[in-house]
Amino acid sequence: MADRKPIELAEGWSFMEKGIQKLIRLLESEPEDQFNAEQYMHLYTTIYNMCTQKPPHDYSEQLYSKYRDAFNKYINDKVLPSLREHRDEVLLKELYQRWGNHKLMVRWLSRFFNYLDRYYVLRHSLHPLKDVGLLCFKDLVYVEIKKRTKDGVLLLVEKEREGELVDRALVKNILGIFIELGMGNMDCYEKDFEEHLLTETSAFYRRKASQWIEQDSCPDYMLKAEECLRLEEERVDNYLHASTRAKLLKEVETELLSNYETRLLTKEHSGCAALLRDDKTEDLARMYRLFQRIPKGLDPVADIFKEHVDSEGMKLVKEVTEAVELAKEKQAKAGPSRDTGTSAEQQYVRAVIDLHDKYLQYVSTCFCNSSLFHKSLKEAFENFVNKSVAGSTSAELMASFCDNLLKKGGSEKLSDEAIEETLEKVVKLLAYVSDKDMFAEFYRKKLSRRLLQDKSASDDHERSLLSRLKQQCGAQFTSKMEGMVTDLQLAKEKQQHFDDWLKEKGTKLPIDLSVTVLTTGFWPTYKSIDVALPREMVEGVEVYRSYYDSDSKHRKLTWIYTLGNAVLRGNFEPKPIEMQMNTLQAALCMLLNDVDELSYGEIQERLRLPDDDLQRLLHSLVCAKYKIIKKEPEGKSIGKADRFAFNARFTDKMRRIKIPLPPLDEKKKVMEDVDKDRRYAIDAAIVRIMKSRKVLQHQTLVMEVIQQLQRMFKPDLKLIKKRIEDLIQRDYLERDKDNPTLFKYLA
Amino acid sequence: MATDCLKNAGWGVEAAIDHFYSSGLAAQATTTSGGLDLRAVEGLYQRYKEPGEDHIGVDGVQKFCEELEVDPTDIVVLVVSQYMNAAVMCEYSKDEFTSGLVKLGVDSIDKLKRKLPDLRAELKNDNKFRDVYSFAYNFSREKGQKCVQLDTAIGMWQLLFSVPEQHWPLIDDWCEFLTKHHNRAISKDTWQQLYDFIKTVKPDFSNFDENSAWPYLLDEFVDHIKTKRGGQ
Repeated sequence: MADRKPIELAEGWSFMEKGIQKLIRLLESEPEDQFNAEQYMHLYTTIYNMCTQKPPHDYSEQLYSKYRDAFNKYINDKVLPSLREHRDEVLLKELYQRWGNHKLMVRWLSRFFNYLDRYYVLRHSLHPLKDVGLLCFKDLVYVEIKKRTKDGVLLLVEKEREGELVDRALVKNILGIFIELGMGNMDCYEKDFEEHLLTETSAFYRRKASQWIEQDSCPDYMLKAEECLRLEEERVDNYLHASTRAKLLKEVETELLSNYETRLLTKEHSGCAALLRDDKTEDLARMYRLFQRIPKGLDPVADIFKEHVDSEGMKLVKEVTEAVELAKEKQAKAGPSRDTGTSAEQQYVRAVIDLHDKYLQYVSTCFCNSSLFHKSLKEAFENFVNKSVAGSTSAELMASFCDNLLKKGGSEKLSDEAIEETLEKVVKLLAYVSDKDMFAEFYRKKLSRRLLQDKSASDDHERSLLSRLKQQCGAQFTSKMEGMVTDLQLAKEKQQHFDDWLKEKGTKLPIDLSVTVLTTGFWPTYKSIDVALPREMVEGVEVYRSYYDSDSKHRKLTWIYTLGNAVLRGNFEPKPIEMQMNTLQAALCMLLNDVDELSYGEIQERLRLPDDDLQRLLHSLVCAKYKIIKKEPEGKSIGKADRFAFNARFTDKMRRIKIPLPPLDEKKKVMEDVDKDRRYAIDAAIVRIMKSRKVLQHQTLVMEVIQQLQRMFKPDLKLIKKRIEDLIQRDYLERDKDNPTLFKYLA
Repeated sequence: MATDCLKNAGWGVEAAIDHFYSSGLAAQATTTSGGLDLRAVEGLYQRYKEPGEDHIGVDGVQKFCEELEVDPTDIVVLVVSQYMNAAVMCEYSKDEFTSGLVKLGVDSIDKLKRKLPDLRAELKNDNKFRDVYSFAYNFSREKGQKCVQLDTAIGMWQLLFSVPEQHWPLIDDWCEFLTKHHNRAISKDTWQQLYDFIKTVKPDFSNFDENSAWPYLLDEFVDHIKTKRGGQ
């Protein structure tokens, strides 16, 4: 290619200029033929030559600048004037058109001038040709037009928000321009469009919200809000840039939800509390979905939920308290009746279970199983469940409830499955009770009665409840109760042993004796009354004692006659009747075998019982349903001057009767026992903690104690303090001399 | 003195002891202990001690106080007893009495009498008062008992806080509260902590934290006073 005459700049450029004009005419849709391959090649080659010529004829620099000028000229001549004529949507359309054209022009021209990109641009680190083209547009057109463009777009957006249909594709394309002109970053889009969009959006929804909040109920408002959010999301997906999504939604959420949350939730007849009252689960679910979007949005909702559940619970407490008061009044007027726990109290437990089920359901469906709402539910239950109910604690009532389910002839007639289900729910409720040890003690007492009097309806249910309790509260909770059940199982075997031993020894007892051996410690503590038994019984006791000593050494037997049963045959004149009664009652009856009549004092002397026990016994045999003993003078209460005799004329249509001995009210004793156990538990915990930590601050010690014991009960702070002082007195701990809030363990 | 003897005797222990007894140093030692006449101190003990017993009993203490021209219930007697580290009231063992006087630096009743105002003044100092206060608990116990009975404690408190610099405005409320609501013996812990309480807690209880490690009785007292004040 040497020896060619170099093309002069002016000459070369005028050739190029013709090509450019042709291109322009094409862009302006003026009649013009398309470039053919030869024309294209010619233009390209011209540039090539002019760049590869030897100096002073290498015109790269000039060509580069003329390239730019070509764009600028065209823009100034044709593009800008046309754009200046238009506004709003028409402007947008025109802009888009012009932009398309421009891109074409860039493509073509850069192809012509391509050689510059190869060497000149690179060598001098300049903008490549395509960029130059874009920059020309940006600097001349965009800068002038961006505000009007933005306004046009926002107008369309607003129209669409008000419900009109707009040309979404156009908007998308225009926004495409903003993005492309960013040339790698989103500056243009964000500063020149997005910012304004967000401000507009804010203002729009602020207006709407202030209207709606006045006019609409909470559910209606929420419906609107949800719809708006949906539409905005759709908008983003459709024609906005994805990066706008989060920012846009945040504006909407702030205006519609955050700013008005409190007002919405507390709306008198349609706010959160009202929705809960009216069981509007769908609205509540919507509420959850909406407020989940804003930070801490759910906290107030959870609080209202908690308050509601709590107040529902407290209502139940109030109802049952009133019902029990009423029943007590009636009782006071009508006379005592059997105390098995009034049905009102049983209903209360049932109602609490149902309440729990209902709102647990709410948490799992409306509130998407959120841990925040689980927590609210828990706190609400923990609050009212631990309030005292008609003088008893929930712990006691729950124990009675279980007793009712598990005993024979309990008031609830349910299928096996239903019983299991209910038991499971009661155990779940137990988690909310802070005085779990109280429950354990009451339950144990009732369990022992069921076991000893053979009142348990189903072994399986008993065992399953125990294993549930074990899972929930730990092995320590149920170890004693399991021991009780085991004792009873072994009792049958032991009885067999005893009978065999009797046969071996050839001993005959005047009565049929069966003994149940209980392991102390497992069973609740029982008062051991030292009553003088009739000699037939005494003989039996002695024989058993010698059997037991031969069988197991190093063990001491303490006899609890109050728990025993006896079957006596009463030879009444009309007909003999078999009577099942308490051992003590039997002992009393047998006194009247030898004599016709006895005075109160004589009976007391022979039986060696204190007044209140004796009166209870006599009352059950003289003044209750089956009057097998008659007294002089007649009446409903036992006096110390009364005289008693066998009522030979007694009869009943049945051949066998049961004469119950009403049980003593154990409540006080149980609470005393629990208090005592708690004191020991606190002492043990303090010593355990101090032994391992050696030195500890008062506050820390108290907190550790509470933590260690919380599975069973909530220790009273004052009590812990008292026990610490007691331990100081007993030289387990001492205060540090320099720091009196620090305790040291004394080995 | 022992070092000197040893040096003189060429560091032989036996020789040193010989030297000690022969050179009249022994005689010196029994009579001087920081300038005190130990035999005089011993003499005093003999004067007051219970005939036939080996301690100073109630009568002896009575006489002791008379000669000092102080009432036995005077607080300065408590201070003296503290120097002696006496185990119980109204009884001083030989060791207690003699070591006490030595600590006080006196060997005669006159000297002790002249020292009494100083001892009284010591109570103005908080640290010294605290020592005496602490000592007072064990001292007030009946022989063989672990705790101090309430009326004894109250009496002791009244005595201790009668010192003008140690006056506690709530002392009467405290005693009234205890008599009405507590009515049992006072534990050592409560006794000790009371002084801390008086020194650190403001009269309006604004800096009292019931969750802190104050004994339970003090918590009750604060509640009681607050209720009383609130009701007025």
